Amino acid sequence: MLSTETIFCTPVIAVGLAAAVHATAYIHGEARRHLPRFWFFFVSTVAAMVAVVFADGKLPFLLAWEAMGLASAGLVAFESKEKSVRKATWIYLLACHAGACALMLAGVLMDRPETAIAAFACATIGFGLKIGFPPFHSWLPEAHPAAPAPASAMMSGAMIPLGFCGFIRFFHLWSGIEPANAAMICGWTFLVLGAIGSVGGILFALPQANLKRLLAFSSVENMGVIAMGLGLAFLFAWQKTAEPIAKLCWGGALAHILNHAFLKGSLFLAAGSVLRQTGTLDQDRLGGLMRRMPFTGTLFTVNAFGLAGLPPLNGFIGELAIYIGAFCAIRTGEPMLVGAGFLAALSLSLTGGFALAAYAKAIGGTFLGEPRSQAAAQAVETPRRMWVAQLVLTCLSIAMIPGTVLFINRMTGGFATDILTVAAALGCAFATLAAALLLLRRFACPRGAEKPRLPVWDCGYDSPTPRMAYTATAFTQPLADLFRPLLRTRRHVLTFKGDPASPSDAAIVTETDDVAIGGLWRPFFHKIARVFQQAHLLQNGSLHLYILIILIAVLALLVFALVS
Amino acid sequence: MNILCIILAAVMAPLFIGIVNQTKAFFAGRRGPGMFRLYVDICKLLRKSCPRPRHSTWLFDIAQSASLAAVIAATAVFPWTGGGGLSSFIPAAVFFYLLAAGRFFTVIGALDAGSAFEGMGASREVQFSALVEPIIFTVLGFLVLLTGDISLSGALSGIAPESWKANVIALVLAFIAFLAVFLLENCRVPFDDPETHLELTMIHEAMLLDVGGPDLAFALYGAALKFELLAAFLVMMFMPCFGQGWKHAAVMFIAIALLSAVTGVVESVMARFRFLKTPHTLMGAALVAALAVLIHVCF
Repeated sequence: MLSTETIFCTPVIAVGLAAAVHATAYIHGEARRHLPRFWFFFVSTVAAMVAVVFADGKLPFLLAWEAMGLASAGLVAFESKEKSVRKATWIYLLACHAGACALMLAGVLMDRPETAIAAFACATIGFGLKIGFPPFHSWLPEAHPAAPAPASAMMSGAMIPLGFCGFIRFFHLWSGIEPANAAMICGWTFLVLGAIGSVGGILFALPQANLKRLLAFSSVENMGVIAMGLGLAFLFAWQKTAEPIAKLCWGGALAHILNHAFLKGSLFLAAGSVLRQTGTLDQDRLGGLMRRMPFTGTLFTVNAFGLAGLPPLNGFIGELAIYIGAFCAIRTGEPMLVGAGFLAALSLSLTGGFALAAYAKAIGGTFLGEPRSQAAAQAVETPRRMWVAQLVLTCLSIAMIPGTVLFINRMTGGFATDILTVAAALGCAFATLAAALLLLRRFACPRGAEKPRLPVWDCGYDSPTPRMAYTATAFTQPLADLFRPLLRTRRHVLTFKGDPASPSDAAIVTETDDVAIGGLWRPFFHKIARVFQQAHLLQNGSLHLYILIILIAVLALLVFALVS
Repeated sequence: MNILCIILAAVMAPLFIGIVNQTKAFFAGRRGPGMFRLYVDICKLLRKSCPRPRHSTWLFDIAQSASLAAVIAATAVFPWTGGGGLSSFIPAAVFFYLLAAGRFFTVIGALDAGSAFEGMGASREVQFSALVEPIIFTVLGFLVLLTGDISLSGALSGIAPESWKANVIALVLAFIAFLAVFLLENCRVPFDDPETHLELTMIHEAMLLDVGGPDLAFALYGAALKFELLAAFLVMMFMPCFGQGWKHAAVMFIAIALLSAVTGVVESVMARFRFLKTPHTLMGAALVAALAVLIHVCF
């Protein structure tokens, strides 16, 4: 049996190493002066993550957890000259400390029956802040774009899933409650939070123009998928007869942690390469990079395809295991499980549809078509080690195609292995078939060597400019419009000025902010701030008041001492 | 025999598009291009060269081949003979994921051309397909609930006549919901009009504006195959079991031909829906599918 430690430690090491190789070239120019600072925080983050995985007991775990948060905050703050980075660091630090605080409470409360539920709530908040459960995900889309790309790759691929590692430990130590009830509570919490997180995460990823923000929201989505798998596993574990199905869901979820780590790690590194070579992450200003950065672009495409959960790549097989679990739940016919199964299957299908759109946008907007800015037009391929780092992670994801099947086989002891094997083989058959058709096409086009190149069809207009091509934002605009009440995309339209007969420049800028920040956290913290404003009555700067307070305190203590 | 049926299905796919077109021609009082027009077109296109847009990359070159490969793989797992083969292993989700993979390549190929119209078509394609997914999976969940089998062939062929009697309302609702999926995924009226040649209103066709030669042949054949596949899915979902083997396959092909004729009739007598209202229609179909499940669970 594979231990939990192995599963959670593998991404830390693999993504950590690849990110380190990438970072040697990513940090260039002026920023190299701060390299020692970067490496200090980088290595401490990796060390702290390993410590979290292997920590034995509550106190070492909490210490390692806190160290992980602090060290990675140092990474997020690397480019601290920029105001947005400082703001993101604050948000991240706040999330880390709030999480650690909730975890300490959970650690204290978890042993007694009367506080068991409170302990669970605290653990959900504490670990949920790291995993990015809604509505605790708000730090992800802020911190990931602010951090240097290797750091975001490591945080997204390896650090966020450690929240699940913590949760599994918590569940093992959670003694104050009956196991069946505990599984039910855990199962439904994970399932509902996972469903909201997966659909909501990818929905918010869709309209993002910033590539790293898109990837950050997609991390929320993937954590949601993993949470749904674990939730189904908990619900099945409650039923004694369905143990293999529970293990299948469990294995699917854990395999997805590995798959997501490799795929997303590579995608973040690619985003870093794009930023380094063009100076922007705005997909509406990129485009045409596939021909200028062929290795980076190809690897990005492969990984994005995998993360959209499409066959034959590894993301598909992990998700398929969870799908099978969901349909098995529907098959049982028990109302509770049928509901859970439909919730999981529908969320997964919606997530799949939106993920296809989001990743098609990421590939199309960044790498395909024609460059939409000078910076993109002048980009060149990165130094070799940057794309080699991505290549290593991509190879690992391809190895995870059979790897996922073997992994789940080991988890379940043979249940559903035939299904997954056939699905994986089918994926390979699809790839082979595509290759065969390409050969046929080559054979059919005897003049393949010449390959006539023609201008694209633009309604007979002969010289289309890049400005006429569809932008990434335009690509997702219909879906974004449909979900406008939820996304609350803000539009800034700069319309024609002056004479309508000879219009000047017009432009539109859209922004989609995190709803949880605007709708929940900002009002919440404003309220807290207002409460603490009242404390200014005591701290008003007048010495007399302070002496009076001291006097009252001393008198009160005296009275207390005399009475008792 | 299973393999023979798969090959037969692959060969017959363009014929059903011919049936649709002939039906439409009949309603319009034309003589029509003939049942076998698509075969001729494909053969002709296969002999031509592949023109490519000025700035495209390798993704454009592989897009149509990969897209067709995905549809062929889906054809290969479909239970044409009523069961057996791969279809008794894999869940129905795999079937739809293969189709989604094919769509992904078409969309990427369209974006690679870098033309405004192809971007527009790709944008609409992903929008509608994302909204169709929940309908498909609600119907799949409904079938699993009804038959107690998660495999593709089990979920499709397990509806016994007595089950039809007991769940007739739910089954009809699910049929309506999946009919919407069938028409939309194949870009048919009332969701898309394959005849329209105005770039601003096309969905699927708009993505193929710059595709030519063997690539276009692949795209046309892929579309025909997908039409046949989803028609077969729809037919098999609600067709009472005719046993396995040749008999089943024969009945199914006849039913697909009938469904093609019905599609032709729908296209002839109906106008296309307003474009911007399509998402709302799809949400309606999703609600119909959900209603089918609810009716089945509650009654």
